[in-house]
Amino acid sequence: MSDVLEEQRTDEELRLGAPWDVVVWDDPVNLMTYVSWVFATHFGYAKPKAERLMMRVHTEGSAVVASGVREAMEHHVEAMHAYGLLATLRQTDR
Amino acid sequence: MSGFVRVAGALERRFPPAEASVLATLVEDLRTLIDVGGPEDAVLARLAPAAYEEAGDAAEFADYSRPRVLDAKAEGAEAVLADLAAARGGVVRVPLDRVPLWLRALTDLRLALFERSGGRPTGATEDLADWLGWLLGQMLEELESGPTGADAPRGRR
Repeated sequence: MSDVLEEQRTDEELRLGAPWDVVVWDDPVNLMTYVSWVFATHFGYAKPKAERLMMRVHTEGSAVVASGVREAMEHHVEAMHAYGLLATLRQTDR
Repeated sequence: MSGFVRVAGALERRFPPAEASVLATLVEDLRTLIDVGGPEDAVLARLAPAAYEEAGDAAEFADYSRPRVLDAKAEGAEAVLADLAAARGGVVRVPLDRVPLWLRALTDLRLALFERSGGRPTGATEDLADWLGWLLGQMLEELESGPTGADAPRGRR
C-alpha cells in the first residue's frame, strides 16, 4: 500500500517536472465576450483574469491559459475544442 | 429585433416562424454533418482541430478526443432543436443550465458558416453569421446580467 503511494508520488513529481501549456489561438470568428466567458466558466478564472487572457489571445495571436501535468492539460484542450476555441498543447519553455 | 430576456430560471425570446425555421434547419444540417462527416471535412476539422503540432501526437489525441468533442457538439445541437420544438406561441424558453449548450451550438454554427465560405461569408451567409453572432452575444449579456425579477432575492431590487 505505502509502496504504491510512494510510486505514485514519484510519478507525479516527474510529471510536474515537465509541465505542459494550453495555448489558445486567435481566430476571426469567435466573439471576444464568448472567449472571456469560456475562460471564466471552464477554468473558474475571475472576470478580470479571463478578460486579460482573452485580450492577450486577441492582440498577440495566442496566449497560455493554463499549465500543468499533461493529462490535465489534454483535458482542458479537449474542453476548449468542445467550446469551439482553437487550442493546442506544447511543452512549457523553461 | 428584440433578443432574449431573463426570466425566472431561464432566458426567453419570441422567435418569428421564419427565424425559428432557419435556425432549426442550420442546426439539423450541423447535426447530420457530425453524424456522417469524416475527419477530412473542413468544418469538422475546424470543430475538432489538431491539438498538437506534431502529426503523430495530434492523431493519437484525436483518436480518443474527437468522438467526445463531437458528442458535446451534438448535445448542443440537440438542446437547441428540443427548445425550439417546445416553443409555445413562438416563445422559446432556455433554462439557465442549458444556455451554455446554446452558446456552444451558436458558436459551432458560426464556425461552420465561416469555414464553408472560405473564412469570408458574403451576402445572405454574412447576414446569417451576423444574426447568429448577435443572438450569441445577446444571450451571453442576459446570462451575465445576474438575477432579476423573480430570481432576485426578496427585498432587493
